[in-house]
Amino acid sequence: MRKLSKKYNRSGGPFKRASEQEQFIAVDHVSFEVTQGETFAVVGESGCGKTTLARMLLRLIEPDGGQILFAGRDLLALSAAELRAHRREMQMIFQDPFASLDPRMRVGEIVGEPLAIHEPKLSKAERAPRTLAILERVGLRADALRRYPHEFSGGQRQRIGIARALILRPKLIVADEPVSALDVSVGAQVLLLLRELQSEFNLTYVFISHSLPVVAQLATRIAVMRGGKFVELGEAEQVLHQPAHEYTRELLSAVPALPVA
Amino acid sequence: MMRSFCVPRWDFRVYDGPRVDEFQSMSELLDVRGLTVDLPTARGWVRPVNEVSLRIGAGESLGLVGESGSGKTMMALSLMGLLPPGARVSGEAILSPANSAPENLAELDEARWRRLRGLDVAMIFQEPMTSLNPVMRVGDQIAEAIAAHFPNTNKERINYWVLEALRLAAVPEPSVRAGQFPHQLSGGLRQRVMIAMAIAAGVSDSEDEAPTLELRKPGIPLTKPRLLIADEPTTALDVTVQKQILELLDGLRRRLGLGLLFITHDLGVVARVADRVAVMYAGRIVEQGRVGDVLRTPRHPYTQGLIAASPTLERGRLSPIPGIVPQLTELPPGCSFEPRCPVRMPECRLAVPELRDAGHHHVARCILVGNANEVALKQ
Repeated sequence: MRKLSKKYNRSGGPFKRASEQEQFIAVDHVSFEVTQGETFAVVGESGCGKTTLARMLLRLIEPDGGQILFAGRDLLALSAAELRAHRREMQMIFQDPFASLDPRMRVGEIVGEPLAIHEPKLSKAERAPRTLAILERVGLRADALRRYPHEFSGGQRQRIGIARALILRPKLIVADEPVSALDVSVGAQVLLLLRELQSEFNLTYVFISHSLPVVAQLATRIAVMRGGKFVELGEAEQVLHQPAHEYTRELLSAVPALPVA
Repeated sequence: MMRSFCVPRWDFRVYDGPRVDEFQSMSELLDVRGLTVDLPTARGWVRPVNEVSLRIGAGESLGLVGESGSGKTMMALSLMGLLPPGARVSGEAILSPANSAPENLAELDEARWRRLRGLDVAMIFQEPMTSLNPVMRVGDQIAEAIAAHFPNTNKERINYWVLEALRLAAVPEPSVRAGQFPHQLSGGLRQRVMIAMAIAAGVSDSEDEAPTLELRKPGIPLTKPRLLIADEPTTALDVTVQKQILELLDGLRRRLGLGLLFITHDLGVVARVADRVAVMYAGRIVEQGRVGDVLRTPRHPYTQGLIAASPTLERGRLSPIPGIVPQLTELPPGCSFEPRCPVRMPECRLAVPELRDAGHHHVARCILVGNANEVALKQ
């Protein structure tokens, strides 16, 4: 069993200003470990720093300090070329399936692009069957290959995003609000798909969301984030049903519940 | 002086207003019958609202539930006279304010709309930032809404009602906030400002009544009840802020006797704010009833599916509805839900089912309702 661990010390986040006093600390000395095969969920309200945290994990935003250890190597110490090689192991799924796909590319190109980048020796003909296989796995038909993103519904676009993330067989998926832009019935489809893919591809998820009910469907452990810090971190069952921190209780009580049948 | 504004005068969270039944016996506010909206599109006419009938009493809250493409927003826009150009409306939507003549919202001209909109019918939207003018102080924007209906009122009087409206919307420090711009406010405060703007003209229209609102006893609604349409007002907000806004809206409709049409895709939110709920699918209402009945004992397979697909804090109970919401240009011939329905039968494709009686004040548009084998078939 491999261990992924990530540590931050003093991460200034994107709003760093010249003067020390004006600094806004988006993510403040957050440390946690993610074990292979688990779903580590980060829950918090808007502005708590959860998206900054997610992007720093993949070095899409450069942390100001700290360490990110991935399979024993410090990602922050890697050169650009080494980082690129590492990126294939870690992929991201974005919130907005409308904004995250290039509207001028065909779905086949969008999904196959990571292969073209990371395995440039593969010919187009060799990429095609792998692209098709992953598209079919996420529940899209073969004719999707030649179509454009705007021809698809929100749920289907999110499936395209998932296919693109999975085609390189990554070990870690960072999913930032993957269902919050989707309708309820479609969001449930995507959540179940993510759950199936996890066991099938032996994936590790870092799942970022503002919604405790959504997180409850997948998480093995939950971190509750506020003001750039984790206020609570524990096993999912524990956090959801025996929350220790006042803020977690507040979040839980604000969730509008359905009447029990 | 400023301090006194910090605490809203009414704490809606503890306010135990009159129950729905009292209001219902008092007056019916909105009676929609067979409302149909046709829209021209590049691919021909579509019908986003199809023979919709519903009623809202003064002080009553109706939740309108549906996914994207269900027609719920077009429904709301037709009640505000804000449909896109070229839209055709048929059917009736009778609004009956208590002390003025009933109006059929389906056939008003723009001049009448301008008098009604904002006064007898008001709407709040999902994203307050895009509905507010970014270069105008929020107090001035609210004043504009009032002055549009009371052009002869002097400035001090209007300013008084601006603060009163902000206070009703539980905006802390209303006199400070009135002088600020939308970008200086948090998402929750912006939505409160939108609510204040929506009710501002309405509450101002009581100058000849009791001198100020605070002298009115709780539970006595305005003599002229109004309709407030809220289209996903909390979707863009954090849950803790959402909770406050829902409490505010709930308090306001009880306090002011507003009829509330609350549009959402979130059944949990409906359970919290609505007395009754109407579920919309592909332009039609497929189930309607009291919120407890519909959510505890749903009779339409779509409602059942929606409940099963809503994430709860319990893991493992999630079961999605297969397929996607149909395009309005490609509706199946019979029941619109038939292609996704787990209990579909060949008969479902023959004709659109009528709304069937499914209990006390509870109807569902499914041919299985009333069928002796209903329960067995839905297992």
